[in-house]
Amino acid sequence: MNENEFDLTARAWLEDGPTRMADHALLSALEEIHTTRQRRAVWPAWRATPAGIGWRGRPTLQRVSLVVAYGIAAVALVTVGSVLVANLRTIQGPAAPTSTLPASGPTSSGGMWPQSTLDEVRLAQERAEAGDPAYTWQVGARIVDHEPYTQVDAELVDRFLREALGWESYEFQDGGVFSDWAGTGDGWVEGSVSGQQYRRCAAGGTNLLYPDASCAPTLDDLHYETVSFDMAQLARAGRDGIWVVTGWRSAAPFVQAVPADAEADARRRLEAFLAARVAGSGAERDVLIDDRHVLPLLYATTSGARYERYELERLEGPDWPDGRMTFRVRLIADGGATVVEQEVAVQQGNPLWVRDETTTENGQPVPLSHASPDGSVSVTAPATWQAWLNGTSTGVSPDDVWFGALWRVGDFFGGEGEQVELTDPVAFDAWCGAQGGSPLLSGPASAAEIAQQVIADPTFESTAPVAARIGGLEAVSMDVTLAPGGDPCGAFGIEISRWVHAVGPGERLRLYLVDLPEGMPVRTLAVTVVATQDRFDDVIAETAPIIDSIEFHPNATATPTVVP
Amino acid sequence: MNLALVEAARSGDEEAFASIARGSADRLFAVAHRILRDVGRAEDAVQQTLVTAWRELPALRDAERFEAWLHRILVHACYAEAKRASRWAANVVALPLDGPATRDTTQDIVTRDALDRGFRRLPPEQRAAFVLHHYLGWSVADIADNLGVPTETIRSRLRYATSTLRAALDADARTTSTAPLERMA
Repeated sequence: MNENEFDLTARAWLEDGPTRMADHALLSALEEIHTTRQRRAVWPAWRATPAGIGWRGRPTLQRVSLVVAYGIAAVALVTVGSVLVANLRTIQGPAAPTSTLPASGPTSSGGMWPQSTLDEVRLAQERAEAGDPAYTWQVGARIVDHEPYTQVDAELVDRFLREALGWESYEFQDGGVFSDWAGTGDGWVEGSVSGQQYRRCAAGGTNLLYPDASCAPTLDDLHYETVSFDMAQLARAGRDGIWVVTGWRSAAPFVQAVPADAEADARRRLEAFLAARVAGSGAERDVLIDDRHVLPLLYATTSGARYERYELERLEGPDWPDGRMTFRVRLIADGGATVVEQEVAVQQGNPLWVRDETTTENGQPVPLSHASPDGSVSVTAPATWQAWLNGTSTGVSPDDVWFGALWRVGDFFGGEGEQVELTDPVAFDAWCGAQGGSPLLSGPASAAEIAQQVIADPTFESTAPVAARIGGLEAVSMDVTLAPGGDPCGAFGIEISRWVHAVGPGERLRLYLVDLPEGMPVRTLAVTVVATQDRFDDVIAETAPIIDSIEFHPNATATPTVVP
Repeated sequence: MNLALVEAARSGDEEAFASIARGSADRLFAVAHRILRDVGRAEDAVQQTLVTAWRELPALRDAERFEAWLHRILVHACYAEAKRASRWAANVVALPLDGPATRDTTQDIVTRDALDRGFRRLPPEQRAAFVLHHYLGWSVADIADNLGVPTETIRSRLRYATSTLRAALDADARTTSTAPLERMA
């Protein structure tokens, strides 16, 4: 199944299912609302603003009357617009960024192009099929951006923007919706495409606020003319069908942030965040918190020492278009003897994002403790490692295979990066067999028995098992590689723990097997570390503290935790 | 979305908010159900979303962002529901899709089952990204913006979700294609 077919299949699958909520459920919500008080407003009265990302009205910069601005903006959608905008720039000078647009921006629209009636389209289709170069250029549209799968490349797009709108330079901004995919796997699209958005770039212009940006605004120093259009194959859908623009309209002008304002705003927010951390409360208000971002050492060092002061240093930005920035912050405790450093990303309109993986204390990555949702297993790893200890009770594992994994931040989980994995080997093999594979194990077995089955399996080449300890319990350890021609029961690309099946050609796997006591959800646990042969010793050394930190908690009922 | 209704609701007009709720509930429910794959939990998520939206509405600065803001609350409500479910359920079994099957060919059923199995393996964050992208048609940038999550994170979640679902389909196809050979052997 190619990508297009997959997208079609997935969308059709998502379309299935209920779309109407039961009346009693809605009534119940409304009853609760009736007894719920609204919070007091935090912000002054607002008014409607355009939906453009990052837009914030800047009335102090509106130096030109709205009437003039509308006139300029509307005319700028046609070829003479650039002249007027240039004149405006001359009057105002380049020193201060100017915003001349009202919130809603200019509006304009148009119909079908280059043909203007269905009869003309049919005629053009016939001529294109006859090979007339005056029309063959309208044939064909390909998807060129697979992330997020929305941009099409067609000569029609370029000609429409240049010839119909008079745009000499432009950038793709956002994609819309495709009605049909060719399904040929080579990126052709058929049917219709709606909501393609492009922004106009000032021809030969320099972006005064972001000199490195490839596209300069056209309406003033901040705003870009933006258009949204639809296109379709009206006479014939398919690879041979010609495309026409079926309609277009100006969209809310794309806006770039004023770098100085963005930086001032970022520093203000960051100062407040850091001051709250020193004060010991309130730092959670403006920061991203979810189960992947744990805010390590928010108010104190690993020894519990409170912060005394902070410093911040700009690392990156302000970057086009929204002035996003990255800072390194230092929180200092113990009279300067302990320094916690973290990188924090700041983007207008979004909460602060502490890159927890960058957290160090006196230059060393900070260890974070992770526990499975069932509380039965905990492990500690440097902040530079991410953990996903799902256990079995999350509804995301295949059947009831207990699993967990740790991988370096920046590596793609489940990809080819080096990982530590924890798996119930017996349940995994049963699941693997149920998926049509050939399981390694014939049934439940102890750690020693599983080790012997691995040794006996011609799929693998193994070292002799040696005694080891995991979580304070006796265990066995062995190294495993794939035998020539070996073909383990893969997880079919499902990136969960795969225990011994994770080893691939050119890789080596350290396998620990440990029998767990009563009260644990798994009778025998496999802990694996996999790496390429040349990196194996280094990875084993690096992950040894992680393996050593594993603890088992029989009869635990804890909820999921991440303890900085 | 009627901005006047939003503004009235923001000022404490309960009836205005009820109108918004009536107009939004089905749409929110459809999204929640696709993330959670369970009618009861989806209803709970929508109820929580509406109550939260009512309570927090005065803090919303931009009326035109109401829809996106509402969906952001919904997604977080779904996260909470998923975690609540995982915390209390000893074993999560594959629940049947509650909606009507619009096509009933054997291959479609097999495909839907494979996708359903694969989807249940995804953590809620990846489910939400996948549903917002493929069901609501939001771009990666819109999802990131509306959820307050870095764009790269959304891309990563979509990649992972896609790879997992594709793997589920591939595994299914492999099983289907190998079955006759096994019978012959």
